[in-house]
Amino acid sequence: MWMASHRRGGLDPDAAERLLDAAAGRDTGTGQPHRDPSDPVAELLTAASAPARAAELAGEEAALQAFRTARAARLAAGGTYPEMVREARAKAGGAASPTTPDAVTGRSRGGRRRLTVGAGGWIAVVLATLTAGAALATDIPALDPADPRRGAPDSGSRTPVPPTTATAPTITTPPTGTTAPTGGPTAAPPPNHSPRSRQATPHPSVYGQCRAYLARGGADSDARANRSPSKVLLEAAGSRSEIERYCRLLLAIDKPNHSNKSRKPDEPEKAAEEKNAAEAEHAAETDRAAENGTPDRSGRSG
Amino acid sequence: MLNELTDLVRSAQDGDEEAFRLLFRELQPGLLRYLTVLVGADAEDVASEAWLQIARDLNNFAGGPGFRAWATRVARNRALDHLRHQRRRPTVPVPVEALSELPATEDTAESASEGLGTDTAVALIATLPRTEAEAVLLRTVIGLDAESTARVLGKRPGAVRTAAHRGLRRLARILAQDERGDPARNGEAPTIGPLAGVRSGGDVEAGRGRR
Repeated sequence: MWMASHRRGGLDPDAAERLLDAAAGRDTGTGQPHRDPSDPVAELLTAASAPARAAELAGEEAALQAFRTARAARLAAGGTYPEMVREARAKAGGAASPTTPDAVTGRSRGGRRRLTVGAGGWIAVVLATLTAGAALATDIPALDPADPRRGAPDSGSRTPVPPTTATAPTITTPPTGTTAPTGGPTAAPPPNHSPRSRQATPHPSVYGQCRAYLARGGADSDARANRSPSKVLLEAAGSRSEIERYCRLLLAIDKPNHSNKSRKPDEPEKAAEEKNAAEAEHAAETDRAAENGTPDRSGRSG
Repeated sequence: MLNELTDLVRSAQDGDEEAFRLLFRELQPGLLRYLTVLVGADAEDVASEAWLQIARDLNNFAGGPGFRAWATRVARNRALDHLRHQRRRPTVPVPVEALSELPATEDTAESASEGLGTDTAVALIATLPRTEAEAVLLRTVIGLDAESTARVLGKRPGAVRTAAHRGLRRLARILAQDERGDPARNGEAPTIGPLAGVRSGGDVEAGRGRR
């Protein structure tokens, strides 16, 4: 019996596979009992893959906020028409607005039409701008618009809205361009939103300073060198202890602005896979070294 | 079950928020436990970064059955980025307390029915060398098959199987050791028992594997 056998340290491959499959809840197809509660390893694996506990789902609302933001960004970047209408309806509600959803619906014949610029796009830009701030605020307390400690780098009291994929590309295009679907007075964008949105993105130098900050090792290295972070970073992040986190999030969010617009769905994943493979290779090497009893490395002495 | 996940992914790609919520509930616990082993106390932060990216790149996912592996790869990449930025050994804060709880729970009457706690179990798996820990977690807690696990880890399926088996054997030894006259079982010296010894050994190995 495999249970007895691996007590002696000789868990054979078939038994190991059965244990792994059983813990994953997969049918082993062997007719063997899926779980043997008396086996300590099976018990351990079962415990490790126990159902969700409430605390583990604490990030649900933040994840949903990220989903909404991303959806709005997608729409702004040329999402599908029905999606946009649904979005506009949901967000605009009954409020009177220059861009009433009905005006948009009126031209929705033709189904999945792509719009890069136009009324729908503008609704989405506004929505993206509105939701993006909220999304990030849940992650970084210091970004909370209500937080009095905050000051935007270059626009006084206005909280910098993080660069979403939506705002940057769309906002630079004049809303009254000829690409607007069939035109119509009701489709004109609310004029005041454009400059506000533009101001809302962090000052460009914040990106550079963040990169430099992270490159030289973040908070730890600053502390060692007894060096104060720049005023721009301090203001942008809200407090000294938040800078590293702020920068990582800012740069992580900013990336897709450049890479994601290629509209080649496979590329990001492929790149990730390659990176991944390289890392795994590296890990494998060092693992091997570790298992061969390589003496401790100098890097760990500090 | 698999089809269900595929349907949820498709709905979420179409903009269905409830579908995304269900995806989160389905995947998050496993991802969080896996990330705990990779980045310790920062698992929550890394997980939320991963979900940010999952939400953003959802429509780049081609569809089909590989979503679980895709999301896991996103989370893993975020974790590796995190480690690179931190440039320090990941600390797993759970083990010491968890190991001290291990004997205690087994001493109580309800231990027969409740068994090990999830945190304790994950903490024990975290004591394995990283490759073994990852292989075991991806196959059990995340629920990937050997082939998908291999793709996520960038290794061959055979190597991943071997790593998982080795990890299980190591766990069996740890647990067997625990059963044989471990003084910590009586709550005397929770951090000095054989388990703690094995733990720090595994930790050193795992830590080394990262440089």
